[in-house]
Amino acid sequence: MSEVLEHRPAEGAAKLRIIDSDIHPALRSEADLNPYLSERWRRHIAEYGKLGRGPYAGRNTYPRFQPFLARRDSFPPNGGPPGSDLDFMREQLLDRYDIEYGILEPLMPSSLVRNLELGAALCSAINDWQVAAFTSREKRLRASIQIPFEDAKAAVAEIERRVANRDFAQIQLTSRSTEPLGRPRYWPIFEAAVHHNLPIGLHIGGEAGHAPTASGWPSFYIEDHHGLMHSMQCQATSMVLEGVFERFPSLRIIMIEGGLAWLPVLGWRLDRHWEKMHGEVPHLKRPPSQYMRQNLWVSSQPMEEPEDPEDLRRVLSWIGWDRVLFATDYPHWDFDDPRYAFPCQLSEAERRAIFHGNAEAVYRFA
Amino acid sequence: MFRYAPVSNGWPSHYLHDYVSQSQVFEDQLLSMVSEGVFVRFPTLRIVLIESGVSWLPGFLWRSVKTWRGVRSEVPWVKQPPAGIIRHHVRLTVQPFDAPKDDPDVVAALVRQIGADGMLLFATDWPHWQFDGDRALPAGIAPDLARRIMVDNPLATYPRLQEATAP
Repeated sequence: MSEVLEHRPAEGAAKLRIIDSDIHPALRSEADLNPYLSERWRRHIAEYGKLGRGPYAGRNTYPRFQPFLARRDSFPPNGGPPGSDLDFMREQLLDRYDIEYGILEPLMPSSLVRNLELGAALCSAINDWQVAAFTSREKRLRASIQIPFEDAKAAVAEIERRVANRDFAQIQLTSRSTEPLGRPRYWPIFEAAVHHNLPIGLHIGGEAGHAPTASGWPSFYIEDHHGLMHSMQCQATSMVLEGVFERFPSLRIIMIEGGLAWLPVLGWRLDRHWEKMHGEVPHLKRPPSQYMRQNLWVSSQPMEEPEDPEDLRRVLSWIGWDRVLFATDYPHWDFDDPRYAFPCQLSEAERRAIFHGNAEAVYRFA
Repeated sequence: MFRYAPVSNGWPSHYLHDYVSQSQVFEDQLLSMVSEGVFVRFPTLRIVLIESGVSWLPGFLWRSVKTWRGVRSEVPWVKQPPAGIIRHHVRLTVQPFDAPKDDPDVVAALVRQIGADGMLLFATDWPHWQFDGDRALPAGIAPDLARRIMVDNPLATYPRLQEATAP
């Protein structure tokens, strides 16, 4: 399908400023990180690998739908996996759609390897690599600070190490973590984010070791893919109920690739039950949905597609037009083309908000 | 003792979190039954989901169709979009109905988005402390739909109720 669309020039999109909040860069090979790893960790990885929490070494729990999860046309002509070749990324994404800024969201083993010191070293190496391979060569691209979030002290140290470099637009977390993110062990990360005025990009994924559902391990990727949204809902719920947003009212959390139609519904649900159970969370001063409206943003792709396009408008208005950030998810198979991403009518103001205004407000690019 | 953690991030601190997450477990169970082909093998099977409301259903149906369109080759025995399968086989009790207070427009929109009036069943949850009393059916549900939810749909769902009420 995408091949047919890609042959058309992007006439309509050229007039619209676009910020893409979800681009996945890839290593050409594991060796790309070697220049940024000490001899100790290079040897460690060569001898012991990157022991994670998933059941398999070196691959995801569920066989994914496509090699590298990628669009078939996104393999660079000069070799390497999709997302690894900056020139081809320019040609296929940044230039073609006239993307003004794009946020890199690396998804590679780092923060959830079991050896916390190795996790910290990998995060730091990926941060160096993002700058060397992408942002220092392409000003439209911005990096995400990878942090070993299971070790909050080391995570804060990594944030401090990167914060002076304006190429980094956000701190990145994953929607699957060993404990729900609202729990106090993660709070130093939120404190650092607020202190340095950096938003947190919470991207779906992560092999945290727990079963993807409360009923155990589903058989298929089609189920696990959906379950990723539940991990996002868990993080939103946990951060609200633990009082993260009461303590850090200016914290900005962007939930990336987790869907969006559930967001207002979860708010209503939490409010309704909070009315009866607020005694369990006396530190909350307001209904849960008010914190969600204050501290949470969502990216667009892959948004739910109602049977009646008017219902998408309704859902977006329930969420708030100032809360949704456009994303392509390049180069993954479920890529959203900015020209066709929204099957409903948008006013000029709504279009500007979603395609660049909201991202500018939350990322505050310099 | 649970065999698995209640969410894929482990153990939430609060009962409120646990209770609210129950609708996600329903989504997982429905996806499992659809994806494993339960409804292909048992075309007359009816499933009633009890005590997690219905407001989560539209977004779930929309997303399940979108994902199925993309990766249906993984489950080739699922030949129809999941939304139609679920609307056909699944019923839900409407209590607790999650919606903003005093906003009948949202309730009406959600019912329309669910797109199958026959799916909805009345329930009180008595004598549990989440019992909603008169609020079990929210404002925004028209009287004729209320009658279907309270009488016609349960009768159609439970054949033995029909036997009991037969003249």
